[in-house]
Amino acid sequence: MGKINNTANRYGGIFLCMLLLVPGTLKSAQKEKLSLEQNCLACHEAQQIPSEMIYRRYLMRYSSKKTIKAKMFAYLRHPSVKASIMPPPFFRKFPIKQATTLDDKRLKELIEAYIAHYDVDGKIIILPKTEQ
Amino acid sequence: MFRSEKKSLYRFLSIYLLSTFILFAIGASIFYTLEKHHLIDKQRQMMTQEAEHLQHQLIALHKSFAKRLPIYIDPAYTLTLLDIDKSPIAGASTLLKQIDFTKEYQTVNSQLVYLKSIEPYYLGTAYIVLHTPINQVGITDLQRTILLFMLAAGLFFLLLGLFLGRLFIAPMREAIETMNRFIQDTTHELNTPVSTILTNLELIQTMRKCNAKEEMRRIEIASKTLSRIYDDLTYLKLNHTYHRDIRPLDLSRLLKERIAYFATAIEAKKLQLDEEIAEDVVLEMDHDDALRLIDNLLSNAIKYNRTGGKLRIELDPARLVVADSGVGMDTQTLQYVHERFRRANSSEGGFGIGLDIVHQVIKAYGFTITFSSEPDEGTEVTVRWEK
Ligand code: HEC
Repeated sequence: MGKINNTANRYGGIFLCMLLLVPGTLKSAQKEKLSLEQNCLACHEAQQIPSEMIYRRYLMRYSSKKTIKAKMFAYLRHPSVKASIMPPPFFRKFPIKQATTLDDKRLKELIEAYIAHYDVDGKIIILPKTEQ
Repeated sequence: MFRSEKKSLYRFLSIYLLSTFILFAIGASIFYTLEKHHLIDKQRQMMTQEAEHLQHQLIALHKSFAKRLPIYIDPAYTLTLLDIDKSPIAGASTLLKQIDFTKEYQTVNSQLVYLKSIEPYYLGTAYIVLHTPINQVGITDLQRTILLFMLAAGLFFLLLGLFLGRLFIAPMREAIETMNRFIQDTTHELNTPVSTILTNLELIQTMRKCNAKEEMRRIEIASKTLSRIYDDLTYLKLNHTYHRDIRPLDLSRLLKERIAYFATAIEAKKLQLDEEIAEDVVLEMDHDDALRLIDNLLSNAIKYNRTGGKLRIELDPARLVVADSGVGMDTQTLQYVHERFRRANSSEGGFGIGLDIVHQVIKAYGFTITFSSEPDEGTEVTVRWEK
């Protein structure tokens, strides 16, 4: 009895996937941005954390995206003055943050989005000197 | 100019020019590599400066939080910024895969590449990679200059060489000229007494009965020999500026005439003459050349024959053979003679005038000559004109 039912199920599944996939990809980028805004940026903005400047410090120290990701991940899990990219005087003005409660996968995604948000890759443009 | 003189001049010139050329080529190549290095160094220096500028711009941009971070570069260069993982931050050179990251300067696909590592990593940039095509214009300019210089130097040294060569050769020329003049004078003075003897001999033979027949004949042979030596000498002398008058020549007739001329000598040596002369063998040849060739072959065959020996003379449309039954030559001498005839240089002399003349004629017409000989058996000389 299962055979016909099975194939029908499978086709139905593929069809459903196709229906969901098209609008799904369009939405996911927006969703990502939204969750970054909610999960990270909102709090930073509220507390007036100079996030872009902090990210530049990461860039200057590590250069490698992979290292930056790893360092941020480690910091967000266990924030400490010592592990921070910022110098100790920074913490006279800002409170040290709470360790995040997000699960690993979520956190990694958010860090990725966070980096993409502040990164300089698309911003640097090379122009011939004559246009200066 | 004499033949040997020309040869010496050419030898001198070729050695002189070759050695100066080698010297100049070495000098030019050293100059070229140095200059090329210098040109490339200049380009590198400018690239290094540009990279310095770029680094300053990066430092300034690092503090800017604008949406656009413009970085300005001299359009001659292609810029790529890389992070420490060598992933591009801005710009993407197609050469990236071929770049050796352990070298500051390198050349890839005729592009000069400059790799600047920077620390700290402003805007995350760990490497500034600049590249620009090698300045070919400068290098071709350099090549052209060197080529021109070499040509001018070559011309100058050729002229100098010619001048020096003539200067060196002058004493040799004088010596040859003196010798020639000497031969000319002597032969000229020989001619009159020899012809006087010959004409008077003839007179005596026709007009008066003479008792000393044998002695008369000897005198005749001796004077004919003298006369022939005179002809040989004049021929050699003239040869330098000799204009051959080449026309169809009846060799059969000439050969018979010459045999008749040598008849007294043949008789005196009691030679058994064996002639096989084809009629109407005609060659395109100068009369004097043919005469000297035949005379010398015949006189040699008579001179080196033994008394009562054989003299064989053959002429057919392809060749002339003169064979004697005289002292002959051993293999070593034979080889030497062959060798001398092959090495086409009669100016070395040493043959005796006779063979020298034979050689000159043979060379001038492209004939071949072969000697076959056995000691005490005789010598056979064959001259072939048909190849
Ligand atoms: C509840 C508020 C809050 C939220 C939510 C929050 N942050 Fe922060 N974050 C802070 C504060 C406060 C600081 C500055 C003090 C410090 O560095 O610990 C900070 C600092 C940072 C730093 C600098 C770390 C360092 O080396 O000093 C990074 C990176 C960062 N946050 C990333 C994130 C990311 C990614 C998220 C989202 C997953 C996030 N934050 C969510 C409050 C927050």
